[in-house]
Parts: sequence; C-alpha cells; structure tokens
Amino acid sequence: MSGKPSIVLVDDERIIVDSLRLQIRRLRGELEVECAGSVSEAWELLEELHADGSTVLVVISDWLMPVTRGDAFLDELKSKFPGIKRVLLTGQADEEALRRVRDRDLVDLMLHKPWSEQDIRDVMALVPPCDGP
Amino acid sequence: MSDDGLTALSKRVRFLERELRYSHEARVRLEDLNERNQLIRSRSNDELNQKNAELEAALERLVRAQVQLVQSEKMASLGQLVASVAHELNTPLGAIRASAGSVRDLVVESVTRLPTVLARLEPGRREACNELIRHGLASSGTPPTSREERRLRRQLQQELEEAGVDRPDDAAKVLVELGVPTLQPSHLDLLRSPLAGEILRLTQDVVAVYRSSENIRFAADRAAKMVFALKSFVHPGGADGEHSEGAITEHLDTVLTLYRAQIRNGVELVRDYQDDGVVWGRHDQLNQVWTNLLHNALQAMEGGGHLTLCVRAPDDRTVQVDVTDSGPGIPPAVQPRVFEPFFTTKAVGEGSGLGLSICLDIVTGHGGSLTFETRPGRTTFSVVLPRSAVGAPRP
Repeated sequence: MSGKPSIVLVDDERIIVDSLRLQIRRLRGELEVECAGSVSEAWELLEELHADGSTVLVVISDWLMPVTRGDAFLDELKSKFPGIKRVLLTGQADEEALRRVRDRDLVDLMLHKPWSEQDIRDVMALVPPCDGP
Repeated sequence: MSDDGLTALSKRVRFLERELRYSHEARVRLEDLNERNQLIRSRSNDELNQKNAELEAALERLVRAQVQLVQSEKMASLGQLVASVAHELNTPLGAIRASAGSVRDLVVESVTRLPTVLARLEPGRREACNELIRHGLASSGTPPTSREERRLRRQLQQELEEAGVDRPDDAAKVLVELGVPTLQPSHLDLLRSPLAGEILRLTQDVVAVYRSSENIRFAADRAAKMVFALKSFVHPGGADGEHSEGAITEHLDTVLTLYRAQIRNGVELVRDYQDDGVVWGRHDQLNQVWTNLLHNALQAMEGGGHLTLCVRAPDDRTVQVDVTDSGPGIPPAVQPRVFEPFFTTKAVGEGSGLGLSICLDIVTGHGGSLTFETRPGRTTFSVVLPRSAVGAPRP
C-alpha cells in the first residue's frame, strides 16, 4: 500500500500487538508494522501485501493462538514465503516443544515473553537497515 | 510298741518318704515344665510382637507410598498449573515492559517538541492540532482487525490524495490510528501546513503515550486477576483443609482463568450455569476435581473442540456439574477401568493414572457420585454432590 518494507505481527492479544508495534515503530521508523489478530487474517494480509508489491521482511508470530498455533503457521510460511524471516513469540515454558521448533529450523529467532528492548533490537538485526524516506 | 507295730510304722515312713520323693520330683518336673512353658509362651509372644511390628511397618510404608502418590499427582497438576499461569503472567508482563519503555522515551521527546511546534502554528491550525490530539485520546485506538484498518487507510489515503495533501500514505496511517473516521476541512487545512509531517508525528506520539499507559493498566489488571485466581484456587474457603460454603461456579471460573492459556487454543467454551452450585464441602479438594476433569477434557480435544461446563440443581438438595468435551470418546475396552487407580492411557510421564481415582475418592468423600457417559464426539463426566456433605463438620 505504501511501498515501505514491512514487519508483520500475528497475535490475538491486543496488548501484545499494540505494545510491540509501538516498540518497533520507535526503533525502526522506516518500517511499516502491519498486524493480524489470527493466522487466517495473517495469510490474508500477506497475500495482500504480496499483491501490492510490498516487501515483508519479518513475521513475528505468537505461539499460542486460537485455531492454528504459531509454530504450524511459521512452518507453512517457510514453504510459502521462504525469504521472510520468522520469529516466534512465546510465553510458554514447554522446553520439549521449543526444542522441536529449534530442531526443525523453523525460526530465525525465538522471542520469550516478557521480552526486553534488546530482544527487539536482536529481531531488528535480522533486517538490514533500509533507507527511510 | 510291738514289732508288728514298728514294722508297720517303718513301712509307713518308707512309703511316705517315697511319696515325698515322688511328689518332690513331680514338683520339680512341674516347675520345670512351667518354666519351659513360660519360656515357650514368652518366646512366641516375642515372635508375634515382631511379626506384628513388621506388618505395622509395612502398612505404614504403604500408607506413606499412597500419600506420596497422591502428592505426586498433586505436583503433576501443579506443574501444569504453573506452566499455564507463567504464560498468562508473561503476556501482560511483556506488554507492560514494552509499553513502559515506549512511554519513557516518548514523553521525553514529545514534551520538549510539542510546545515549540504549537508555537510555530497559526492559531486556527493550533486549535485543529489540539482537537486532533483530543480526538486521539478519546478514541479507542486502531480498529479491531487489520482488515478494517487497511480498508480505512486506503479510503483516507484516496481522499487525502484528491485533496492534494503531501505524503497521503503517512497521513492516512496516523489519522486511522487516531481514530479519525472522516476528514474535516480543519484537518485538511492542518495537513497542508509545512509543519504537517512534524505535527502528525507529535500527535501520534502524544496519543501513543496515553494508549501505552492504558495498555499498562489493562495488562496489570489482567496479571492481578491471575494472581487473585491463584490465591482463591489454593485457599477457596479461607483456612486450609476446612469445610466451607462456596459456589462451585465461582471456583470453576477460577480454574478457567488459571487454565486460560490452554483453553484458548482452538477450544470453544460454553459456561451453562443454571445454578450457583453452592455446596458445603472441602473446596480445595473439589478444585482438584474440577481441574482434573477440565484437564482430561482438554487433553481429549487436542487441537480444539467444544467444552461445556454445566452447573444445575436436579433438586433442592443436590448440585450437578457436567463437564462435556467433543473429543473422540472413551473406547469400550477402557471404560470399565477409568476409575481404577494407576490405570492410564496417557504416555509414560504424562499421567499417573491416579487423577480420576482421586477424584472419585474426593467426590464420594463428600457423599456424592462421579459418573461418565461417552460416545465419539461427546463425553460427559458428571459430579453429583449433596448441598451439605455427609458427615462434614458444620458450624
């Protein structure tokens, strides 16, 4: 829509989406931050951005969401849009499940709630700096 | 004395001597026997005592093992509880941490820049800017779905383009964020100012400070609610291990709050509360029953389904709680063994097989019953409890 490269957030928790969006906007004002409240909405958004010719650099998805879980979504994202960096946001202490994600090389980064500002900087480091207008 | 008399006497003496000897020997033998008898008796007493002590110790070990098993079952469900609560606290904490950082930075920037920019604006445009900020503070934020947000943005962008506003995409984005549904002439005038870019950024920042504070408040409320639920879960009736009067519906809601993380994943929940379900009993124990039934139901519906909690009063002296899941059902071969201790269909380490057997103990201990009905797609566990538990101490 605006032609700016974007970061897509996928989480059904409004407090997470709002706070994360603002945090990213402050750190990387040259990036567009698009949000989806569910996996189905995320697919719709990604297709639309793709059709608009807008580049999606990173998808940050929550793990625990209704209907489709974050890891399953990122798995599908990997095969559909392999160029997009994948970040999984999790509040879960389930080590076994996390190990499976790591073993399958599903994500570029794991973001643990409650994340710190440095964690977000690390996510942003996945994206080369773009020349903002 | 005659000879005859003497002979008779000596005979008599010899006889008595013999008798005396015999009786002495007999006494000695008797004493000996007695002694031996006593020895045998005391020895068998000792053996009996020893056997008794061994049996008592074995029983004690068994009781201790059972207590340990019940305890480990409690610890296992505590583990699930901790994982769920950790998730439900980490989510608001993440939001609080991020929002607090944003507020700190944005306040510094906007407080210093806002007066300068406002001072450089013409009075009419200054008023329009203030109005825009007020609007942003009053609005509830970005639209609920990204679909709606993008639709509004596209619409506004087109209008701004037609009005000849510079950088219409950025302006449209901020206006949607501020909750401006339709463009007013004053907005357009403000956006035509050479300071428009700066104004939009500042307005956005000021509103972001406000919304971040709201976000923090909301997140803190949620965390507090979680901690409260945790407290009332552990101490549902005040003091530990005591009977109290409590509404089962309240306790069910507490359990639902604590297990929110697990319920959210594709499970549609129906709370069909037709009665408060006030009963007199050990609600700390009953909470263990609700947790167990809920956990089993959720486990039966990996990947989602329908969970129904129904509380009703079949008559004025009993309360019935039905936990129904839409899982595959319990296979016929498994059904007779469901309440059997140590029977489990779960993988090693996932369940002790004691959950339902403990539930049954707790419910029958309250003078109630625990039954189930199952078929593919619908399994119901029903707990029927008397309002006043049998044999419970009542004030």
